[in-house]
Amino acid sequence: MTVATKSPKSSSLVNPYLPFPMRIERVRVETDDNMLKTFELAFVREEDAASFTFQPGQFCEISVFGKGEAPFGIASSPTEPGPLRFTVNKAGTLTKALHNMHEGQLLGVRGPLGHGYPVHDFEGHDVVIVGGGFAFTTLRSLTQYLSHPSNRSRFRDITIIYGARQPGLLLYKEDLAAWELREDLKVHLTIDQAAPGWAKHVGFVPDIVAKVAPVSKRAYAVVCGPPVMIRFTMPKLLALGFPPDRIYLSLERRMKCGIGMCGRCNIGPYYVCKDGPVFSYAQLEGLPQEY
Amino acid sequence: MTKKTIAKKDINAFVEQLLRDYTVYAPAREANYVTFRQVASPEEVVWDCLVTRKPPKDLFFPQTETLFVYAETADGLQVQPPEGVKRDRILWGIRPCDLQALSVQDSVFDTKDASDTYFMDKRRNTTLVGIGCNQPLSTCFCTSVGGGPFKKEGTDLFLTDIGDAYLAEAFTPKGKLLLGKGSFKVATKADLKAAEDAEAAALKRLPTPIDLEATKQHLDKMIDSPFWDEVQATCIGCGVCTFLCPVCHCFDIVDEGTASCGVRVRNWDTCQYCIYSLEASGHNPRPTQRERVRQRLMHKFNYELANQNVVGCVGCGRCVQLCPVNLDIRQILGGIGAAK
Repeated sequence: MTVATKSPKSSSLVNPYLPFPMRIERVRVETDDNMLKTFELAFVREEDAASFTFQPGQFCEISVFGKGEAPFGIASSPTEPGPLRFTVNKAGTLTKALHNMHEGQLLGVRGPLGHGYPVHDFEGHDVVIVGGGFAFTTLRSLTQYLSHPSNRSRFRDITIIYGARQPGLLLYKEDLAAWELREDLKVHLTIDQAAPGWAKHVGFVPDIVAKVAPVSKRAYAVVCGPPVMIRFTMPKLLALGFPPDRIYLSLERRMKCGIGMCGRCNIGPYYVCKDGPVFSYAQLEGLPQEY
Repeated sequence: MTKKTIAKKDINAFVEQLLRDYTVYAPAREANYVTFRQVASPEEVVWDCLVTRKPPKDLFFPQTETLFVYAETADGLQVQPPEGVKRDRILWGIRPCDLQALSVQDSVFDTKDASDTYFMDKRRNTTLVGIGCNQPLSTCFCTSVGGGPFKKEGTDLFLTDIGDAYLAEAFTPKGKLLLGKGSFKVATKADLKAAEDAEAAALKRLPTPIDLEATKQHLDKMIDSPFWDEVQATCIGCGVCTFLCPVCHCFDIVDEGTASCGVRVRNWDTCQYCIYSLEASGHNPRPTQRERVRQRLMHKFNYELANQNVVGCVGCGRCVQLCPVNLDIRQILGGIGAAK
């Protein structure tokens, strides 16, 4: 059972609330504090695998039966074959139960939901990716997508600015190491306070954005992080000359239905689930800062 | 359109006939109030209640509804949604405000992107019999928000009280079908005149329209207005205005059961509660009642206009009648016009 997101014809025939099954193939701990785990999920049914196509930035509703459903961004890239990845912070009842699950167990999944990053608009432009803490999940998807050999030539400079409180709290350390080795990616990693053995940036993400000062001409910025990081990063990007319609944010809100019906996740007239989670800053200007 | 009349003395026999072929829901007594529920005989129908305690929205969007049953089996996890409507239904005696609310809910639950199978199944299998409001209440303000006491849009069959009889207008094949089930007569000119007079008299009792577009534009500039502080100072955040609103459609989804078997249900929810937008991290994008009262008004008079080109208020006045601290949405709307 898939969720209709495009075709009006099929939408009335499909029950958008029914999840399809996925099996946990692998669980890995991402951070030193054990609070973040990445789950690799494999399709159980052929038809679900065949019909599932997604863009970087889209998300799924994951069912942990008995606990409910919660939305998680897809951390793998459409260019990566194999299982879908989701990185989950242990924060509430559902995520705690999910953290206790292991390889072989079944989850329910609905998706892909929402709209991803406008990668086609990025073509021919610089892309500056700004992430903080554990909000790097769909930014990983985006980075892998943009930097994939079959896509890389369509984009100009790619700059990644990513920060966490401590080195051990950075996600995807293997990927970060691989990206740092590449000539065609500029990677700036930062931690909040100096730590032994850390020779990269030290400071909050907004300050590093100002320090690195990516050129805004012909560039798009993509921002995902905790609300406080977003609030302080926006003025820095605007000061660097990024126009609001070339700054994209991926937002998070408490969600339930994922299809714009349960009413929960709106910011002004937009539903984060259906109209987002990716928004341009131009769209959000003048709306209540309810994110 | 077919216009007929039915004498009031024959109306119970008509309902009796309908009960043979349909499951009938109508305004009826429950405890100490009147609400829409299934009736078993015409005598249960309450005719003189304009605004039922609960709107009929839970006949399409129940307060609690099972989305599916899940169970772990040898083949993995099975999910089974409940069966749909088995017997055609009649919603008898829906008032124009609640009809208009249903059309707003249509625009929420049936979009080009997704269709709510549960809502739509009930909607498709229900015939709507509307009835006009000869004597609107002091809390009614349908005419302020684009409605009217005899607005018939969306109904299959519409009844107008013309004294000893009802004028019955069928707008759809479903409505015409009903006309064959009772002792209807062709409407005379005098009948039509009586209906016109009833409407004119009712309209006199109702307030004038408000400028909805101007209200929307005021609200656009009122995100940070101190006006919301005034409203929140009174509001106790009980949520009754949203639960009893025929338009409000917010819901929560929860699992009841264990990892191996249980049900997934959805329950009405309200933007007036703190926990509604509270995230697991502890972050709450709407941390105080100020943001929540703003959300309710913005959603109804700004966002729904922007998204669906409809207003999220139909002027039924339930929130006015039942607010425990006497907040009156009409006064708030007046305040929005004045607020900077």
